[in-house]
Amino acid sequence: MNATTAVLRLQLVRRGTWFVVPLVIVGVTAVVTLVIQLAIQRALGVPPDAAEWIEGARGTAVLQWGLSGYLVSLGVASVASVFPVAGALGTTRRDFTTGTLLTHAVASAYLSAVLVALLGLELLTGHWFLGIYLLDTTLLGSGNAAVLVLVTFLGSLTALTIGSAFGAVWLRFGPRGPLAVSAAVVLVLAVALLAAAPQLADLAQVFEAWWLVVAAGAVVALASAGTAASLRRAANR
Amino acid sequence: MKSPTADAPAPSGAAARSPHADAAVTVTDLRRRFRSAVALDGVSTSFRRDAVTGLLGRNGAGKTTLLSLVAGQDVPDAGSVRVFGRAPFEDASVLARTSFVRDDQRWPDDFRIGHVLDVAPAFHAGWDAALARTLVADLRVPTRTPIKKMSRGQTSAVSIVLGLASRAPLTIFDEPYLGLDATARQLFYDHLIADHAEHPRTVVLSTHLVEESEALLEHVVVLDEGRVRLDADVDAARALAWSVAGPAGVVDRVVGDRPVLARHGLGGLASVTVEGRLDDDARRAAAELGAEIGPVSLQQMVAALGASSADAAGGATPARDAGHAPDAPHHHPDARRGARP
Repeated sequence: MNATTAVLRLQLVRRGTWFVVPLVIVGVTAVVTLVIQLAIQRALGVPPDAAEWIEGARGTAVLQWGLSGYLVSLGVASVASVFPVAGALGTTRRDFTTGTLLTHAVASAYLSAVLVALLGLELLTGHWFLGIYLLDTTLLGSGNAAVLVLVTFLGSLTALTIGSAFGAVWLRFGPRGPLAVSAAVVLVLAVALLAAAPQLADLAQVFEAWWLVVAAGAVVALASAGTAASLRRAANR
Repeated sequence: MKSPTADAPAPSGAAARSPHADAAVTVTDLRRRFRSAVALDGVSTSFRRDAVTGLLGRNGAGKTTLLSLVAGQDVPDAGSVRVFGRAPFEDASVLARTSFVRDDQRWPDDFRIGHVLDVAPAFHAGWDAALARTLVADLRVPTRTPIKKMSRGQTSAVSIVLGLASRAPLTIFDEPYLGLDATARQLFYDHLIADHAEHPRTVVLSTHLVEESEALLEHVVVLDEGRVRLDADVDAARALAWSVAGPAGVVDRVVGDRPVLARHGLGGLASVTVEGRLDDDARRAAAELGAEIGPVSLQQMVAALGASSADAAGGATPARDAGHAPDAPHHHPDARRGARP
């Protein structure tokens, strides 16, 4: 077993954290979505197969919000709390960084597999027999399995690597590190938004979905580079 | 215990350094500073291959900082560290042969001993699962309690399991006995002796329990305020100082202008730890004047080195010399004369 896969094993040894808790979150959000959509159906008196109902229900994003918070926190913990143990076990910082990134990729693939399986069930059961749209949503490709896999994988990986970057910055600079990085990111985004504001309408017209793929890839690369740079001189204690 | 004798090796300066040709670890003029605090101030020493070396010194002496640098977990501001001939920082081949669990090791919230036993073989090629299980049982490490929620002693036991079962060619224990009861400490010593005899490897043991662990140690390095105060084989270290006790005036005459490491007084009586070999003049003077001359233990030696350093630094209370009146230490006005900078 090489050093990178050893780190993968170290990260994934807590199977509940990586494999069970996300399922629980998916289950809870499914129940919440079910209750809300049934309540709306009853309140509005619309049939589940009505075009306006389908369009509205597909706009739900409860699952994404529920998972993304957990994944960011998991990314933070995967660096902040595991790095000291990896050091005690004789791991280089480089191997820890690559092994953790590999872990994030495995976890993202796992989530994609779970969600695509659930999408299959959702479509097979006619949306859970009640016209409930949990995974057949606009953000996840409106029933397109390939899009769902791509969005879930890249979205999860992005959340995890952003979390790991914040964990690494915290290890390197203490509590002020994440605050400073957050402030800098907000500032950059605000300036970029203000600068692009006059062209936003034009950009919206020519927007292509693959831009998001490129953006996610760039964020993952940037966050991973930030993690590696911060861990390079982070105190192992 | 071996008495200081005339044929014992003489100290060379404050530290009788003995660089080993067969060293697993060599550090040269190592310096490390944390903001305004100087943790290491020009440390040069070596840890002999396959020997058990004790790293001793007071709290804040720089022991954990030195061990972190040796284990490749930190980078020096100046100087060099060589472990198995290579700089350890980010060197996978060195780190894979090193085990270093800090005394304040952090663990993930839900990490249990089972997780440690699961993953450790992936990192340590020589991992002995059977020994690990034996240690977990002998040291009564709870298997269901997260390590973070364990008592101090139980956490220390986890570190011992990881260090001993790793069979790492460089195994570093950083105060591994903290919170351990006497039985568990003895079990640790027994396991270490037995396992080291069967599987020789370089062991560095940072400890304050000098007397308890003295039998394990082949070599000692004493740090104080970031500097090496003593670096010698254990037998030689014991012979690097001697003590004289009796009426204060008599003791002062026996000591003469020899360097004094520590002095304790009670009423008109005094006990002084003197650095250097016991020479015939001192022996003769003691016999004539009625003073009692004796050897010092390693514990006394380490305490005296710490005391002399504190005294030289400006009046800190000296460490108590084992076996002497603990409640009335005071310093002779001349006691600082021999204190090393």
